[in-house]
Amino acid sequence: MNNKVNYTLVGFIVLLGVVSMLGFTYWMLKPAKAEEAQKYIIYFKESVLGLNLDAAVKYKGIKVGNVIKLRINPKNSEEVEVMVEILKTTPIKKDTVAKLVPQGITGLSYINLTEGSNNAPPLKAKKGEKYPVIQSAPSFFVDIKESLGSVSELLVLTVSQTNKLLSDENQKQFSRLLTKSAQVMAKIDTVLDAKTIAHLQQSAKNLEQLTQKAEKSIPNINKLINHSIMWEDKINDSFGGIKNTYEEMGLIMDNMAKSFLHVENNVEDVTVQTLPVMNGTMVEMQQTLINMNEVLHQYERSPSDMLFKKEKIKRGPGEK
Amino acid sequence: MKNNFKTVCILFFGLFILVGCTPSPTPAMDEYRLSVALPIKNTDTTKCAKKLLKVEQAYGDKLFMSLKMHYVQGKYKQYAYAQSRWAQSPNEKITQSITEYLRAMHLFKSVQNAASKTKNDLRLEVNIEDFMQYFDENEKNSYVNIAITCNLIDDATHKIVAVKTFKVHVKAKSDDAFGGVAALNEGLKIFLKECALWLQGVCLDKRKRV
Repeated sequence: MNNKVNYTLVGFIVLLGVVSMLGFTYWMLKPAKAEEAQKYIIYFKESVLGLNLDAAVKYKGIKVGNVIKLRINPKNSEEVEVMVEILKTTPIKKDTVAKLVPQGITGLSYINLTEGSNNAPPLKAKKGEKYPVIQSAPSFFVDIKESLGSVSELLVLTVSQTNKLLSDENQKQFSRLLTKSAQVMAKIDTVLDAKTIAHLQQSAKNLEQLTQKAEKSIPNINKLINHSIMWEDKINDSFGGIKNTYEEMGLIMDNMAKSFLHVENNVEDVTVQTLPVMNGTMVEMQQTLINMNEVLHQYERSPSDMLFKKEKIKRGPGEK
Repeated sequence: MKNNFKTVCILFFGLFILVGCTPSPTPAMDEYRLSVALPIKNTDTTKCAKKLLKVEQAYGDKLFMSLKMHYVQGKYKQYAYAQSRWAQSPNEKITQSITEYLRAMHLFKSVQNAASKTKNDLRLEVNIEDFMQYFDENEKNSYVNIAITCNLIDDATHKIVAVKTFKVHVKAKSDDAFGGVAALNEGLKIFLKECALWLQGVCLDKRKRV
């Protein structure tokens, strides 16, 4: 038996097999090309409970990437910084919004990208940022929670106002109001008996007749109005004449006022010039009258003094 | 003939009158005048500094407007000196003195007398209530009393701005007319000072509308 083995061929085949296995392994494990994916940052202000590493990132429901890093934003502790890797072919625009969406009842979440319009420019990293930042929106549960919060506040407020409205005092007032209303209704009921209703119907008929008469009278009223308009025009003309007269009278009064002022000034001038002179004259006259009075008094006491100067003169103290 | 007789009668009657006067000669008469030269005290600027004042003629009883110099003896008797009289009636002298003194003080922009024809802001009316010499029953212990009321009047509204009565009592150095004149002179000086001070106070008083 020819047991001659071609070792060279065996070695070659084994080597080929090993190379093929290595090549398959490489093909299987080779990393995604860097140019095929783009890293983005998303900041969430809400809790990212259920979002894990490698969680899916979907664009309008289609998986386009995954979460590669999760951490608290070192610059703002109220935010969670989520780094995602998304295929470059995905149209991430400036108005694209990221939302946390729960995945069924598992409690896990994924990120859904929505609202990117065709006309919006593509999202790029700003100055000082390493990766572009996709804006986030509150998730459905956060919206519900906020809405519920405001609804509950409104409910509490409503309950409080209702309590105030239904206070004991208001209830008493309300019962009084109801009682009064019942009384009023009873009175209306007694007033609106059959006779009154008949009267009201009669009044309505009378009113209708009156309306008919008024319709017949409308042409006459129109005539009266026309006459009134003519009369008003005439009155207007008369008032215009009166107004003109008044204006002329106003002018005359102004002129008279000026004249009076002029006269007043003249009178004042004359008064100022004359009065002191008259005053001086009066003073001198008074002085003269006093002297005359003294002389008369002396001769009244002793008339013979006019001829004989007989009265004995009383000398004053110190006089000789 | 009849006319000549009438002329002779009239001449005789006139001669009789003239001859009748000659036996009782009139005694010599002393005339007195008041002289009030006061040192002028400069006043601070007041709200009257822009006002014109007219001093009206002083009035009073005819005793104070006459040239006769009257005096009172005891409580009730009143006489006139036979040999003494005023050269200027007391009311004229008082008016003149007030005008001159206030003018010299420069308290007002201008001080005019009653004869002035200017328009004035204020008017000072002066009423003489007493300006006479007094003696006791024995014609001794002579003194003088002066009582004058001054009314400051707003000439525009004719309302009184301020009013005050000044009373001065001065003892005469001699019991005669000369002593009385000297005492009245001193009293007038005192009155002028007080009147000027009063007017100054009125002008400084912020409550009064001067």
